Amino acid sequence: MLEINDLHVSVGDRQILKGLNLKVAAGEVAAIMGPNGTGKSTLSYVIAGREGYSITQGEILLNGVNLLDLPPHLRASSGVFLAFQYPVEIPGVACMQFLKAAMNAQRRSRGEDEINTPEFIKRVREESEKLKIHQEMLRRPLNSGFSGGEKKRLEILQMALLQPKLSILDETDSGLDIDALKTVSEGVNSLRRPDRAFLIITHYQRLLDYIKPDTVHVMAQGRIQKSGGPELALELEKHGYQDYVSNEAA
Amino acid sequence: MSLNTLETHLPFSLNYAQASAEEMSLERQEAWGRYKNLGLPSHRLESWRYTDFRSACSNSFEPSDTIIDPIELVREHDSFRLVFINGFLRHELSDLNLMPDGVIIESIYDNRNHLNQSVSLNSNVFSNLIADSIVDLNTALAVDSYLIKIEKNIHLTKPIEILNVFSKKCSVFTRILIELSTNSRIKVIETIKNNSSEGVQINHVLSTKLARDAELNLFSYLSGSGLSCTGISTLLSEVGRGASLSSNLLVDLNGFFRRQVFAKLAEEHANIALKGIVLAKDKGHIDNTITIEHCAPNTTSNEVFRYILNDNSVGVFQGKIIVRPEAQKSDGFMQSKAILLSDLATMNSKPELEIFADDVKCSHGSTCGEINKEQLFYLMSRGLNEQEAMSLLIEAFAFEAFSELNDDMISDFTKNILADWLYAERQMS
Ligand SMILES: Nc1ncnc2c1ncn2[C@@H]1O[C@H](COP(=O)(O)OP(=O)(O)O)[C@@H](O)[C@H]1O
Ligand SMILES: [Mg+2]
Repeated sequence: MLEINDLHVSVGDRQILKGLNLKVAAGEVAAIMGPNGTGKSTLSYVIAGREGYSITQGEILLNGVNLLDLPPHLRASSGVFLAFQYPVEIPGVACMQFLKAAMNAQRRSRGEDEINTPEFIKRVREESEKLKIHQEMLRRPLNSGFSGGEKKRLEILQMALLQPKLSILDETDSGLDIDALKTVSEGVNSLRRPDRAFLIITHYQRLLDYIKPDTVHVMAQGRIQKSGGPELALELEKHGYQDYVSNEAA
Repeated sequence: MSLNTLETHLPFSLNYAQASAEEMSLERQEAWGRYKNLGLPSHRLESWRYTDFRSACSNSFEPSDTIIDPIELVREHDSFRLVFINGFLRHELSDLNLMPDGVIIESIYDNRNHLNQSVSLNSNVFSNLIADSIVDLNTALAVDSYLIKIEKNIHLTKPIEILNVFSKKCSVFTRILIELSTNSRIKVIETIKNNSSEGVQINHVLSTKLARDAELNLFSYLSGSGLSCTGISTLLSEVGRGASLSSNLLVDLNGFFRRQVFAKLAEEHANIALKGIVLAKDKGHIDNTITIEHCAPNTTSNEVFRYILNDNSVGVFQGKIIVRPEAQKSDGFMQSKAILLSDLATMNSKPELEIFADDVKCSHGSTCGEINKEQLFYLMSRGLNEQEAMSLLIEAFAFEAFSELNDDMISDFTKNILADWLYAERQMS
């Protein structure tokens, strides 16, 4: 599903990703773990198409299509979804208006019919109940004045409504208490399907107790340093990232 | 520049002014005298430094006449309508005979062009606030002017609409007075619509007086698909005890235009809210200049303006709040924000506070910038294309000014205007 080859990314004259390779198969849940400042968010932004990065080398293929050739909205409609580490507050745009605009925009660019209002409201109600999101919250402006936990739930609600092929969750666990973590994880787990893939970015093992990954990748200093199964996460929990960081420096 | 050379540059013909001078009432003569001394405001005056009106009016147009052009008017609002074409009331297009009980409409001037006995122009109330000659010029030259008087305790839900349409190249002076008696409550829609393909010069004054506990909800829409419009619209308001004026302004006008407000919170618990959305493009120049005087304790004023500026357009916001010594516990707030959609657009913002009382709360803020890139990316990452995302953000930005607007009709109307404007800008780019 996702194939990243030799990705080099810099901001200004600073190189952040230095030849990153990664493969995630359909149906797979892949975890990326790594110390702070190593380029995990940069990777997720570059996949989603944020501007401000210069991609000097490499490619990002989603089902064979190079995402780097597409503007962000077309990446979204071809199935990429990023749950932001820091969801952006947009005062003045009502949540419901935004959710509907997003669903319809994606449908339109896929040549599908727009969703009608009753159907839309029904879908939002179903999904928000699962995530324990109050209807009152959805009447407020998008993310503005939301608590950290509320913002993260809204990200997962969007994911549930948009049904992406590739979901990237950038530190969705940070700022969540244990109950919220469980609710959000259940939300993610219920979306697992053979034709969908997940990239779970975190630097704690904790989230992976709830969302069981198929593969774990250690990222440090702009590259995937080691890949393995769930046992790798436990090992990292014990020994930290020390080995990978010093390896690189040596 | 001597007075003589100046006069040849006036936005109306000298002949016209002289012809009517014999007929002028005393109030008009005095206003004309003051105007002759000052001339059109120069940009050397502090309150006109960003808006060089004198240069903008260097070509004078003929005064408008009553020649009736055939005109097609769609009804945009469910309202009691007064229609003025090129400054003259058109009875056959207006709802004069349908006005509800408690609404009295009379001509300000009699047929010899003298001030009607029962009417006071009320301009002297503002004499210490108004440092320029635009209102004087209007007082001297406005022709077909009306007083709308609302009687005590009258509450109207259907708005009164004052529709000013301009259809040809001319110079027009219009004046409307609205007096709200105690505890009356009305909505007014004031529309300026420039359809002239050769430009028009407008000097419009709306003067309002609110008695105790009265409420005026004003929506002013300045628009024009016609060629460049040069003009000034002045809102004068005197707000009495417990009364409140709420004014929402939407500007979507091609040209050089100033909307100025002189408002006086005359008695305790009077309240003024002035909100505005400005859309400007091409070489448009839109100026909002506001002076609010708190003259009594416990009075509040609140100004929120949003500018969306494209191309080479220029936005101006000047807000002055004056708090007199006796106006303790007053609350004044003003804010202007601009989004520049082009590198060549400019915003000039100048807030001023003159506070002579010690126990008051006054604040102001202004910002000017581009569309927020983080917000734009967030929306696009959900599937909205750049234009859709921009439209959503711009609408949200604009509606910060109308956040307290409790009127679906005006809100929907504004949304449509905004969407059309954004659509047109998108086609151009
Ligand atoms: N826009 C930017 N400008 C400059 N430096 C940046 C920018 N974005 C990220 N960086 C730097 O790149 C590095 C990687 O950041 P990030 O991708 O956020 O790491 P992580 O998510 O792994 O904590 C950090 O050192 C960060 O300071
Ligand atoms: Mg990060």
